[in-house]
Amino acid sequence: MTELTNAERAAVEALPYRLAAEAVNMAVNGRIRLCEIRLRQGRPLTVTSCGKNYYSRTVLCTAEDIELILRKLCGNSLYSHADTIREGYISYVHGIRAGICGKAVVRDGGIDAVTDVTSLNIRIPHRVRGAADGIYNLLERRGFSDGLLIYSPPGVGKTTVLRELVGKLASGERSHNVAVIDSRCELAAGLDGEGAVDVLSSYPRGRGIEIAVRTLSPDYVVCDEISTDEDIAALKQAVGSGVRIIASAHGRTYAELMARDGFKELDSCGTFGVYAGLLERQGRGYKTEITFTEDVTADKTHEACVI
Amino acid sequence: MILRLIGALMILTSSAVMGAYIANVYSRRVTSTEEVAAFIKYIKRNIESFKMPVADILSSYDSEHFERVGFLEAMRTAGLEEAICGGYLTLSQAALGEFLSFASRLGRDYTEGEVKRCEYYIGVFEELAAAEKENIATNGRLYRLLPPLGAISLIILLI
Repeated sequence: MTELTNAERAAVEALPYRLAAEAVNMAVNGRIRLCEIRLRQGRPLTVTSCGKNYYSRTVLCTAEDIELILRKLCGNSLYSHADTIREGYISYVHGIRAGICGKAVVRDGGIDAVTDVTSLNIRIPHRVRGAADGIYNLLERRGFSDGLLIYSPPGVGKTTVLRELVGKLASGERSHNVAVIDSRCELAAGLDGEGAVDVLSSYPRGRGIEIAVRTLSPDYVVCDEISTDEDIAALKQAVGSGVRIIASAHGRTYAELMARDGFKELDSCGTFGVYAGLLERQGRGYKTEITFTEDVTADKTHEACVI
Repeated sequence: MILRLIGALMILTSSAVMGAYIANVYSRRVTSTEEVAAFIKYIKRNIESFKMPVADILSSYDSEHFERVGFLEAMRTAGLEEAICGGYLTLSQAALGEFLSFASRLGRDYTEGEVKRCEYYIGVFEELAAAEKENIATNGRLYRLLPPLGAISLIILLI
């Protein structure tokens, strides 16, 4: 590793000097990319790169450190980030997203606020050129006629693959109009000027999908981490209007996905022609388990292969 | 005799100048305290209605008084706390302490907490401004009397 990327630099600059210096040392000495910086009160500073944790031997995070970082990430305006804090994260510059763990203040059954924050996980997005080449080639071979669902457990690289796929689909000679629903200001990081991409930033997924379909006439609608009933309903509606969907979701296997009612419903209405399960990193790409849904009518067949 | 006259003149002049200066300070204290209350009202409105980040609130605020005394510029470049400590505003020690206490916690709470804190400090500064006005009404009048009294004394001395 030669130098920090803009996103890495911004993430490090949000830390107090002691922690920032240690994080940079760990990245430079270990020749690793900073993918996550984990800060837990009273525990050593931890950085994660390619799914592997590296612990600082000398620097512990204090409650004051966490408070300072939280203030910095919020631009010293906690109230203006209340909505996302309730959802468990703060969006920062360059697509950086910080996961927040603390004490929830519950009112009327919903989370009203989060106080006494004890840990932060600062996730730093990276462009990995070529990470989605395999999946892109597959969609191309099938005439760009399918919707696609990318699934894997957390931290494997769904968002990275999705981001690279958006970049490839929206640029080049056969560019498509791609509407990205970036609810957490993370997916579209680094996609500036990347061709025919329209980014709906911070929109709730369901509402964003609805608006994109109605007003942007996209070839593809792309969204990250679909999970709620509203997401499922909005996707079904989008499919009904002829738009192809590319999305990601948490899940280990295709069978595990299909055990969930929402995805079963989406599958039955032919939302996704291709399911891509990310198994592990292989060079710049990913070992991927592919499942095709060949027939959207009653007797469908699922054909799985690994690319 | 001449020396006595010069001495008396110096005492009278300095008391007149001091009286005018202190009366002016009282008057500026009232203006500054009222301006701070108006500033906090602006902050409250923007947090409550727009959830505008602190940096945007500070950069969008406009006040002739704050601009004239250099507080606005200092606040935008060095930050609110630094500007308060910079001595641009003529405030009593109590008002200065309250303003600093308000600024040091600004932005650290959720909307409801911030609004409540703003309301509390608006009340504090309105009370402080009323007290300063009361001061003008009593002490300020006395200090303002010093220059004319000095002039009369000088005339009597010269007769």
